[in-house]
Amino acid sequence: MKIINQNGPYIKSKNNTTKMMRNLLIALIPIILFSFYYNGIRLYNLKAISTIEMFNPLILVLIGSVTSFLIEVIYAFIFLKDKKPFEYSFYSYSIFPGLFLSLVVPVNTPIILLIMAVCFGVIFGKIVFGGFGKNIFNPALVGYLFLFVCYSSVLTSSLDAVSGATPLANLKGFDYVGTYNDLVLPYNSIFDLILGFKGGALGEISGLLCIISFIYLTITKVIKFKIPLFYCLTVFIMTTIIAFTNNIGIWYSLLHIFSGGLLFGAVFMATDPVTTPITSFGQIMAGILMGIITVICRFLIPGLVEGVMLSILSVNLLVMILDNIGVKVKFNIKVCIIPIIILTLLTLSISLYIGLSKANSNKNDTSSLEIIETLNNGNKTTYTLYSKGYAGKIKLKIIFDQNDISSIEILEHQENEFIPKIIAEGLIDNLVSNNGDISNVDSVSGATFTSKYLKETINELVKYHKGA
Amino acid sequence: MKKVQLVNNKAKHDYTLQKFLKPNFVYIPLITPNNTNALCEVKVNEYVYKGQVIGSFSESFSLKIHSSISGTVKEIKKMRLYNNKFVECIVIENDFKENTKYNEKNIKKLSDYSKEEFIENIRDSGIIGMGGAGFPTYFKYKPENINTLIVNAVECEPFISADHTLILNNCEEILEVIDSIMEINNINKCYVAIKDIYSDLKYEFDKYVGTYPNIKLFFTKNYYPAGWERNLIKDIMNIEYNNLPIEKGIVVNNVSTIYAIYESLKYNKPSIERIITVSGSLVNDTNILVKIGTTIKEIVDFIGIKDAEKLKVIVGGPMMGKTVSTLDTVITKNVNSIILSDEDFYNKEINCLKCGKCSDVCPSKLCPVLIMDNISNKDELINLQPNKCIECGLCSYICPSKISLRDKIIEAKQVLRGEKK
Repeated sequence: MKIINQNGPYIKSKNNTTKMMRNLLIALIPIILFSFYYNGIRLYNLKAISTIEMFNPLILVLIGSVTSFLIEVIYAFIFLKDKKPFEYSFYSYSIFPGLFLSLVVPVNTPIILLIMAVCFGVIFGKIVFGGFGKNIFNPALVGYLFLFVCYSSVLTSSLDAVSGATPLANLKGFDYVGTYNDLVLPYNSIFDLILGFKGGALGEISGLLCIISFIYLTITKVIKFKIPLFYCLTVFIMTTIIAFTNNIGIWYSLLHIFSGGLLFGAVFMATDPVTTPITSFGQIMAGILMGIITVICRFLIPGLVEGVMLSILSVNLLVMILDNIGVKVKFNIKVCIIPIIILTLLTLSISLYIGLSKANSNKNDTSSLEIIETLNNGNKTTYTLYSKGYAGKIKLKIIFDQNDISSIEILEHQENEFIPKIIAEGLIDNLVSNNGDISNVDSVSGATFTSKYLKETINELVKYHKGA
Repeated sequence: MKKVQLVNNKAKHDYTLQKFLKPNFVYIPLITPNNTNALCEVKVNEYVYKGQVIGSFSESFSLKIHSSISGTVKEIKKMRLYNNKFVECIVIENDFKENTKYNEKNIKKLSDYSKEEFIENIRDSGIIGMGGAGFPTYFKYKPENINTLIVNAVECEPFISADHTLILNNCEEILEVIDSIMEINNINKCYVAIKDIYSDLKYEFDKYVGTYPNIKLFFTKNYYPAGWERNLIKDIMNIEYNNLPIEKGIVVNNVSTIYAIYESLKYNKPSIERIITVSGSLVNDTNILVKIGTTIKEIVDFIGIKDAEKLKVIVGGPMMGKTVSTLDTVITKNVNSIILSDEDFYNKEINCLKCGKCSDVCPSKLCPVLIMDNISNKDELINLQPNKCIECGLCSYICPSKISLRDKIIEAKQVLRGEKK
C-alpha cells in the first residue's frame, strides 16, 4: 500500500460553486417564464405581435447566454491555449453576464445590439481583469453601461411601443410627485405593479417573483442577502420620507421599490459575489450606499430614468474600502458607529432635501400653462406655448378665432414616434372640432402620456383664453 | 460567526471499548508537545518497570516521562510523531509481564490531597492536555484564584468518539474526581460540556450527577468548533478573554485528562494509557485503549485493515488532523484519533468567487479570502491578523471553490514571522 500525504481538512462541505450557480439559474427560470408569458404569449393572444415575435423574450435570453459563453470559449482557446476551452468557460460560469444583461435590456432591443453589449461587457468587464473571480465590475452592468452610453435611446424610448410606459417613466413624467390616480391607476392598482403586470425589461417586470427568488437564494445560501435587504430598506425609508414631506401615502414607497429594475437589480446584480464586499458589515454598507445612489439618480439627475445599474456599478468601485472597514468592525464592533452615523445622516438629509424641494416646486406650479407669446390680430389670437410631453416639452402654436380653436400646430417636440401617431389617430383634429372640450376626446393608446398632456394643456388654454 | 454543522458528524459509532495493551515495542518520545527536550534517565539494556520514570525535564518544567510497559530498553532512536517531527524516543521491548512500579507511598483518599500535593501528583504523573494541545495540566492549577472548572467532553470533530467511550465506561469515576478537584482547589462551579445530540451521555451523567450539586451539565449545540476553549467559555459563561482562560479564573480540561487525574490521584498511576478512535474507510470504526508509545503499525495489525492501493493515515480528526508519511508513527498522549482511509478528498480548485462564506464561519473572525489576496502585501496582512488563526480548517471546509484556505493562512503567518517572503 502506498501511503499518501495530503493537507487537510479531509472532509469538505458538499456545497460547491457549480451547485450555487445552478441554484441561481433555477431562481431565474420563473422570472424568464413569466416575462415570456407577459411579453410574448399575452401579446400574441391580444394579436399585437406575430408568432415569431412571441418568442422574442426567449430568443433574447438564449442569444445573450450563448454569446457570453462563446466569448470565453474563444478567449480560452486563442489566448490561454486551453485544451478544454468549453470546460474553462463552464467553470468560469460565463453564461451569467449575458443572461443577466438580456434580462435588463428592453424586450425589443435589436439582437445585434444585445450581442455587442454582451461582448463589450464580457471583454471589458471580465476578461481584461483576468477572468472569473478577478473582475471589479459586474460584467453584465458594464455591458448595460455600454448600451446606456452609446444607444440610450434604445433603453428609454423603444420600451413603450409594445408594453406601454413603465411606471418609472410615468413617475418621471410627473416629475416624481403625483397622486395615486396619476401614478398607479394607469396600471390598475399597486398590487398589479407588485405582481408584475406592467411594462419593463424581461427581468424587471415581476417584483413578486424577484422576492420569491430572493427567499430561495437566501435559504440555499447562494447570495449575500444583506445587500438586497438593506438596499430595498434604504430606498423604502428614503422614499417614505419624500412621500411624507409631500403628503403622499405609503403606496408611493412601494411604487418606487416595485417599479424599474430595482428588485431584480438588488437580488441578482447587487449580490454578484465577485464584485461585492466579503464582510457582513461591508455588505450592509454597500446596500445602504446603493439605495442612496439610486434615489439620487432617480430624483436629482435629469434625463436618467433608472438609477439601479449605475448605483451598483459605483458601489462596485468602493468594495475595497467597504471591506477594509468591514474587517475592522469584525475585530472591534465599536468601529461601526461612525460609518453608521454618516450613512444615516446621508440618508435622512438627502431624502429630506429631495422631499422639501419637490414640495416647494409643486406649490409654485399651480398653472401648468407656459405661454411664450400671445399675438392679437383682430378676432384672431395666436398663442405660442409649451406643453408638457412624455420625453420633454412640446412647443405648440394654437390659433383662436374669437373663442373657437381654429388650428393646432406642433412646432417642436422630442416625442419621436408618438406625435405622428397622435396626428394619425386624429387627436389634433378632434381637439379642434371639439373646441378643446376634452370630455369627448379619447386618448391615443400607445401614446397615452403625450396625448394626455396635450389634452390637458389645450383644455387649460381654452379656459385661460375665455377668461382673458 | 455562523455555526457550522459538519457533514458526517452524527455518524454511528461503536462505543464498546477494545483493549490493545500488548505492543511488542513502545517508543517513548523524549519531548513534550511544546518542544522542550527531556533528559533520558535510563541506559540501554536496563530493565524498566511499567510506570517507572525514564525521563524528566529541567527544574522549571518538571514533568516526568514514564515507561508504559515493563521490559528492556533497547536503544534510543529517532521516530516520527503525529506532527511529522523526527524525535528521539526510548525504545522498550515488552516482556509482557506488566511488572508495575508505581509510587505507592503517597496514596490518599481523593479529597485528602492538599493543593500542593495535588499539583505535585499530577505533575509527577506527567499529565498533559489529552484533547490535542498537550498543555501541561499542573500549570493550569497553579494559580490560586480559580473559580470555575469546565470539563470539555464536546469532541466537535466528526469521527472521534474516544471521550464518548470513556464517559460511557467511567462516568462515576470522572464525577468523583471532578468533585475532589473542586474541593482541593476551592472551585465552586463546574460545567461538564457535552453535545446536545448525545442523549446516551446525558443519560449516563444523570445517573450519578445528582450527588454532586455543584457539577452542572452543559449541552452545546452540534456545531464545529464547539469544543474550542474560547467558544466553550463563551457559550457557557458568555465571557471572552485575551490569552488564557485563567485570566478569568477558568480552567478547561478535557475529560480524558480528568480521567488521567483520577488514576493518578487514586492509584498513583502515571499517564501511560489512553483511548483512541480508529476509523476510516479501511477499518471498522472502533475505540481502543492503547499504551502511550505504541506505533500505528502495531495497532493496525491488531485490528486488521482492508487492502487498498492507496493509504492515507490521518492522525487527529478529519478537520485538524494531519497525514503522516509512515505507519511507524508513535502515539503520544495528545493523539485521540487515527483515520485510515483510501478516499481521495481531492477536489478541483477553481477561482475564488468571493462569496465570503469563509469569513462568515471563521471562529476567530478572520477574513481568509482577504488574507489569501494580500499574502504578498505585508502591511495589509498585519491588519488582517492571520496569527489569530487556530487552524480549525473551517474555511477550507466551507469553500465552494474548494480552495485550501488554511494552507494559505499558515503561509501568511510564516510571511508575518519573516520566515517566508
